[in-house]
Amino acid sequence: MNVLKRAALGAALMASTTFALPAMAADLAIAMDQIFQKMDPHNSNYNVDYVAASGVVERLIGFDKNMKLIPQLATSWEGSEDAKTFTFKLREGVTFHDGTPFNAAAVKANFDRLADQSQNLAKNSLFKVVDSVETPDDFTVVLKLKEPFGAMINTVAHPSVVIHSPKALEELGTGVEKKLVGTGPFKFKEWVPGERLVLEKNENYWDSGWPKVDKVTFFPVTESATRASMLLSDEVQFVHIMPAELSERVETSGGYEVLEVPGITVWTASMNMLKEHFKDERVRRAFNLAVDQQAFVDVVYSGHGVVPDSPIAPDTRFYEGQEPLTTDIEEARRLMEEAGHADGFEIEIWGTNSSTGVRMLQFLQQQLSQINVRAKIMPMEGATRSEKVFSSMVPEESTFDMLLGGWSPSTGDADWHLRPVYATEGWIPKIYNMAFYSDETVDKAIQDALNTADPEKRKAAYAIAQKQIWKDQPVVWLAIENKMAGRKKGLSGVFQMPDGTMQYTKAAFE
Amino acid sequence: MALVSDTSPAVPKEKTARSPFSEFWRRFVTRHAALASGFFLLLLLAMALVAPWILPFGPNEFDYKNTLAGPSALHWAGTDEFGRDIFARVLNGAKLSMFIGFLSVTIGAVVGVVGGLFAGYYGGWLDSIVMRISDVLFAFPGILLAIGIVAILGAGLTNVIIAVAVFSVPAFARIVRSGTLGLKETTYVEAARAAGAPNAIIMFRHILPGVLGAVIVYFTMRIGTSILTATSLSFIGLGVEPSVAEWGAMLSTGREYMLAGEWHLTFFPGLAIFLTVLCFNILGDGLRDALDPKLDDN
Repeated sequence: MNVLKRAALGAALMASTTFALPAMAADLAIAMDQIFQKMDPHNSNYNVDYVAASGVVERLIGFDKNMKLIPQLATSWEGSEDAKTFTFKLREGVTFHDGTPFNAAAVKANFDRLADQSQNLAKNSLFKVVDSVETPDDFTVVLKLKEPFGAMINTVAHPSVVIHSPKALEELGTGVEKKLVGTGPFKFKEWVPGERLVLEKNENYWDSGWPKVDKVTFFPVTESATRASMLLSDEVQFVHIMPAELSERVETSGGYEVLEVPGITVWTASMNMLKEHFKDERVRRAFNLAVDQQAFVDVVYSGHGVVPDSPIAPDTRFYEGQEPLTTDIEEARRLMEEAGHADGFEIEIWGTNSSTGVRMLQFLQQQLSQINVRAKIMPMEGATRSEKVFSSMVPEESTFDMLLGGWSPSTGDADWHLRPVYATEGWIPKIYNMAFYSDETVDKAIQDALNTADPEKRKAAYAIAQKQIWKDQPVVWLAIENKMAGRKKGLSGVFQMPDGTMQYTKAAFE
Repeated sequence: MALVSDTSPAVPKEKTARSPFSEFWRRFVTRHAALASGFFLLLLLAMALVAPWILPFGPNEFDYKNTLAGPSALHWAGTDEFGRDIFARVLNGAKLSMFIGFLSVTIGAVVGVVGGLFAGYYGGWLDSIVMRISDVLFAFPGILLAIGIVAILGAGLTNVIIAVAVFSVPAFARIVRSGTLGLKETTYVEAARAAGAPNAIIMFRHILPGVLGAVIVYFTMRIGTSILTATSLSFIGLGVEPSVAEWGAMLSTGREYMLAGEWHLTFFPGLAIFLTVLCFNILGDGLRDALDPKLDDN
């Protein structure tokens, strides 16, 4: 009888594990490298926010693995020859999570919000050229532009150009920063800032058969070693931004793989050109000469990256390689002396307090000490930095000397790198020009490129802009790092993108 | 050891002839662990002070061609992610930690002793105020209070010292107050008062020496705790700048590499913290035994 009991118990246990396993395996957990700031992609500059939202609110057009355009809520699109009218055919039979039907009016509500510059949303500038949004029928949307703009399709594919439920926009207003309602494969369930974000399966998703996981939980974990150990202890199945120094350890552990793709994020230390010492071009050149970029890539990214040779990355459209950066301490000292700063000066460098962020700051501090620049480094927590840089920043009263940051053009196009980071209209807090750089030639070239749809003309204009920026050196260029991720073997459909975002909507376990 | 036990039977005869210090010293040298701890701490301090002239590497000297190297004949404790010599950094950290420890506890002790002395001597509302403030400060866990203070004042070395000093104050105030309460009723204090000595003289010349023993013991032990608090603050990024060669900051950046198998980045600063705090505590224990008049030699 005892034997019987035991056998029954064993059978029961086995049965429960067999049945329990698939259910457990269908929950996906992901460790992110940064803390989510705002759920609303229309009003965020952060890749992590776009990633979080991408499962819930969809775009008309998406990107595949290689940043090629693929249909999402739009089934087809076309631009007129003069690049002033763009027509999108929408998918039929789609409903938002709150039951609102998806149609042209819903798209118009979102596009109007982005085009209305008085909203002061972080991403309004993407739709600056939009004049009007028209809806000839229920499933057609037409964008009319003020001027020709060749990069409009790529702009609509930007991860921030999502379609919120119009009902949610109306009822919640800016509250969509905390709660999302969209058409995506996952529904927004719970967000505990700084701790976790939980999405659950949308049973009525338009793309039948998807999603294949029941729940996605994101954990923001800024400390890179912790992220890696969470993967190794199976707490998460995917690590977004795997620390390069731990990639070998993860790969040799068995059961896990490290994914690596060349990135399009250019890391820089912007020099505040409203400050007297950085108005002098010689000082800015000296700073770039003093910093050994290859050593930066080696120390900060364990060699997994390249040294920039243009303001934009080689994989960004319209990239033009410039003269390679060199390191020459003697020449840097000579320039500093010539500029009257032989004894250097004191500066304040702002950065983030993530493991990599602190390493970047320390590296810069060491390198600049070689030209007698005494840097005070200030690693800040994500939300503090975001508040200081993008909310309460008054350019004329800015106190920082240098600001560390990385920008990736999530449209894959030169416009969305050069304009936000180097055009006068991009000055923080507005977009991302943290050097307060302003140059007529650059502004004009960027504008010229916007005003034409001809790729050759745009290429020529962006070449002028890149050359001028490279000459003026408003920033210390640092690195273009490879995007690395850690993944549990057997998981597919989850991967990182060259722009630093990631995809997980097609997640599936073997 | 043999020498000590040989001489001890002769002690009682000469007892009256000894000065308080030699009496203390005679008791203290028999505590071998305390003596060894004191010696270790002095040695560490001496090494830290002369290190800049002796070591071939400075604590902030980087060498990107030689990063994350294990311990070797050249780099005794290996190098970190910037190729900096960890041994030099640990010694620099010793200097910094002892400086923070001594200074913050000294500030805390001075304020606490004066406060406790006044509170105990005058009593009344002054006593109530000082003790209630102490109660409030006591109610916070030490590290939490320090984090709060640093959060208000901002990170940095000076503010860490202030934070650690503040949370040392109440303990000293209590010790001194209770000692003062007992001593002010003693005959010799009453005699001094009867002779017309002013309050300040009575407090500082007659009562203070009586409570000093307890203060010294607590002072020594407190340094260990303070070093621990200061390194904790740096570890969580509220202390010194991350680039400064400080034990807590070193642990904080080194832990990134633990998983990658680079144990030496955290082992050596961790060992330094462990030994230093342990030694201060053992030394404090030894001092208490040697200073306590109630404890018999045997």
